[in-house]
Parts: sequence; structure tokens; C-alpha cells
Amino acid sequence: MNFFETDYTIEQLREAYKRRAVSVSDVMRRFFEYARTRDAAVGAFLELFEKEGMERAAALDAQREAMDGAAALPPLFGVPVAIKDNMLYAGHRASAASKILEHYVSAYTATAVQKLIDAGAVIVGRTNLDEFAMGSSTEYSAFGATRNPYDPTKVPGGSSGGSAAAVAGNMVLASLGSDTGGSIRQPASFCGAVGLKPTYGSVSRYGLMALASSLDQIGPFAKTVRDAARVFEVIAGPDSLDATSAPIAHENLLVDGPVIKKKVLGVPKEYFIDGMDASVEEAVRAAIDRFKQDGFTIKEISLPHTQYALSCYYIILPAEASANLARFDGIRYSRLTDLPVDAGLLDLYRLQKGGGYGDEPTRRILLGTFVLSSGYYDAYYAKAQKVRRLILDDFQKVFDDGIDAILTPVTPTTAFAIGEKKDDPLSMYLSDIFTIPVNLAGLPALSLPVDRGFSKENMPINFQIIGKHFDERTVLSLGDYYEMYLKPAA
Amino acid sequence: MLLDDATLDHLFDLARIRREEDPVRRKKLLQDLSKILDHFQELQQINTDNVEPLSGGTFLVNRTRPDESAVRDEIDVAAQRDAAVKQFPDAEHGYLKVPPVFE
Repeated sequence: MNFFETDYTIEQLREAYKRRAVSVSDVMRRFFEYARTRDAAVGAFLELFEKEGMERAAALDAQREAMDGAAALPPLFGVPVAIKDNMLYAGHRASAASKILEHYVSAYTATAVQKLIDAGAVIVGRTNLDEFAMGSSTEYSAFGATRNPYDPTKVPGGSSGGSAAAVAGNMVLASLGSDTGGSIRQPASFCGAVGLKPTYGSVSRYGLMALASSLDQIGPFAKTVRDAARVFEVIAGPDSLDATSAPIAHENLLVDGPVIKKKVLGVPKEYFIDGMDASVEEAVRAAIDRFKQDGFTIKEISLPHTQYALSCYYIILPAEASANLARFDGIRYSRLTDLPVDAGLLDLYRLQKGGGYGDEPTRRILLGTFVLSSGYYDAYYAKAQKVRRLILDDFQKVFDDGIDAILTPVTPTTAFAIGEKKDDPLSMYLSDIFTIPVNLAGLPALSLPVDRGFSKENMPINFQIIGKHFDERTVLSLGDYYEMYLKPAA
Repeated sequence: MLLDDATLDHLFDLARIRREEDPVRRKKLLQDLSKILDHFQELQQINTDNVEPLSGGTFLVNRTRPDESAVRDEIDVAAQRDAAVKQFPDAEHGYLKVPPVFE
């Protein structure tokens, strides 16, 4: 199998479909064949939906036959897409990579997934994650770790590691992840993919298994910013089934160079810290320099409460997660063990949760229980909510001062080795130090590669573009503009 | 903040999780949680007098809809209900079966 046979973008595939150079069935056959062999070494997928994917491809081909030749193809027509296995897809398993939901079958379909299908996408399979999206390496999956497609000894990042690796490994052209503290942007960086964390409320969370309801957002992975913008435009928008989805439309997302060049970019000094890899700092500075040399206005800014974001987040997230995960109690979802005859309700809860959750969910549920418990609530949870306000105020102030977008690193290191941080939760948490503030403030942020051409020796490094609430347009347009710098000279 | 054994058991009970009995795993858990809670102490340095707590990131308020079944039109309501009931570990006549709540 030629590695490059599935190595193209959605834009390129659309051109081929428009010219009728290829059928959806041909494309999907190739992708499934490739994914089956390639994934043996990567482990991005928990399940491939090959049979129904091929049936869907045939149906799409028939649909196109019946179409007027001049009619536009739906935005994701015949595009192979994967979904993170914490999103519901009716009739399919949804495990959240947890033993507790190993056999759970979705009763309905998440809005974001339904929108992909309505736009013509073919759902290729469900991808691996850290159990209940808790982790930064995909090693905390109950069904085995995913490996980085560029170096199998390294992690792909997490928690959406399977979705990032599926795109970077050329097994799909796009995928969905969810980002609560960096779970799209950090694996995008470790795998050299493009990942967008939308503004809180831009994409419906209906059908996404809740981790921390005030922080979770669904977003796309793709190979280019243009492709990511296309997928985002499909999944974004208000949804009556999610009371926190915003009544804001997202269209015409990519604006022209002359407009985008007037944007003022801020670089926060607090995001370049001791302990980050020199190679990461150098790469991110090089990305900023490209904007500068091209004539953008770049200003140094300060976000003084950045260093407290990690503590703030790891109080708020476990608090919300401990409440959300209470529902997997062995009553409405699957039950792990047969109950002893004389067992009561409390016994059932304890057996189910004691045996079902892995180490990381257990840690976070206990932490959340602690910070919400009587006597500690004010010192921890209430304090963290106030600090969250200060972190949002920091961003608001620089935006009020005329900054349009903020450029930062995504994560302090490149992909680390499998096993390196697995037994040290605090050091694992620190890999999200540059992505967490964005979730606390509800902002949109894009993670995109500084350069192209990755290998085992040259692991990917991304940088981050943070925008104002609901200003995905500026974030994506800047990213799309940046990718022009990476095109080989003509 | 050093977590002690009694507090750990209290947390297990509050969270309805069976207590960890393995001494090695228990020790590791206590160490990990204590280390994380120690890290949180840095928040006490920040002056948050007169700061309003923030529970979400954006300025929007929840949007409500009429109190009616919100199932998408094209979906068969009965089929969706059946699919949910099918996931119950224990059901009778289409109802969720729960162990006795009161002794």
C-alpha cells in the first residue's frame, strides 16, 4: 500500500469529485483498506464502520448520478470522517474508552455527528480517547494506548488522540474531537494536524458525553485550516437541543489577505516559561516572526493570571466531572457485575464504580468530591470560580486594548514517550498549561503546524491562535493566511 | 494539604465508589491526591476580594424552548425510547428496574 494514496485534502478530493475523476466508492474502499493495515501500528480506531461505510458510499454515488451536473455538491460530500468515541451515533457503540460503557449502544445521534452526515460525510469509525476524555496522552483508554503516527514509541496526545492520529496517519480527511482543557489542540500539536477548539456555545454539545459542562466543546481536526473551517462551518450553529448553544451563525469564515493583514496580534509574555522545550519556543517564535516580517502589527501583552489557570481548571473540572459521571451507576447504563441477592442500591453503586472506572477518572471524581465537600467548598471551588473570572478579565482587557488575536505555544514539549508521564498525574496535567486558559474563558483557539514535513526525527510543533468570543472568522483566516507561508516557492 | 486515610474513605463513600483496599494502590492514590491539592494552594496567594465567581466562559444566557418532546421530527419517538430502554441492565414492561431504595 502506497502511504500517499490517502494523503490529500478535502479541497483536493472535492475537485476530483467535481471532475467526476473518482467515485465515492473508490475513495472509501481505498481509505478502509489503508486504515485497516495502517491502524495496526497506530491504534487510532476502536471500531471501523466498513460495511455500512461502503453502503453509504454507494448511496452517495447513486445520489450524484441523479443530480443535475451543475448542482453544487454538499459541503462534505463523500468525505471520510472519524468521530471521537464520546459522541453518540444511533445504533453504534459509544464507549468513552471506559469499561463502564464497553457495550453501550447509542439511542440517538449527536447533533454535530448528524450535521456531518447531512452534509454528505461518510463516518469511517469511532476513535480512541483517554477514558471519559480525562487525560493528555490517550494512554488512559481502557482499551489500550494510541500511538503517534510519526513515532510509535511516542503518544499522540490526548484526550482526542485517536481522532488526531487518524487524520495525521492519513486514515481519514477530517475527524471530530472534544476539547475541555486542550483535548483537540494538544493532540493536534503532537501529531502535526490542524485542530480547532470553537467558542463555548458555537457547536452543539447535544449527544456529547459531558465531562465538564461549562468547558466542553466539539471541534474538528483536519490537514489544513481551510478543511477545518469547512468542517466547522458544517457542525456550528444554534441547536434547540442544547440550551447553551449560541444563536450565532458561522459562515463565510475565510476573509481575504488585505482584510486579515490589518489585524493586531498579541504575544503574551506569560506563555514563554522556564521548563518549555527550546525547540518549541524557537518554532513558535519563528511562526510569530513570519507574521511580523509580512507586515503584521505584533504587540507584547500580559495575561497576568495565566500561571494560576492550571490549579483553577483542576478544581473546576473534577467538580463538574464528579457530578456528570455520577450517572454511570449501573442502573441506566451497563452493569458490570451480577448483584448479590441481598444487595441494596448503595452496594450496586459501589461495586459498579469501584470496578468500572480506571485510575484517572477515580482520581478526578475523588478530587471533585473533595473540592465540593462541606468545609472545603469555599477554599477550593468558590475560590477557583473567582480566579476563573480574573483569567477571563485578563483576556477581555487585551481585546479591549485593541488586540484582535493572540499567538502562543500549544504545549511546552513535543510528543513525549509512551509511559513517561502515565504514573505522574500532575506532570501529565502540566502539558495542558497553555490550552486551559482558553477553555476557562470560553474563547475560540486554533492549533496549527509551524512547519510541514514531519518524521521521527522531526516531530511536529504547532502554535496557537486565540480569538475573541465567536470570532472564529479571525482565528481561521489568520491560520489560513499563515499556511500560505508554508507553500513551496513556485 | 495532606490527605489522611479517614478523609480518603469519606470521599470514596461520598462518591459512592467502593473503597480501595489494596495498600500499595491506596498509598499511591493518597500521594497523588495530596500532591495535586498541594499545588492548588497557590490560588490562596491571589486576592479575590470583590470578585464575582464565574461559572461559564461566555456572556450568553441559557436559551429555553417550549416544554415539549424535543426529539427530532424525523426520528421515530417509540424507536428511540425502545433503544434507550434496551440499554437498561434491568427493565420490566419497558420501565427501568431499580434495586430497593428503602430497606
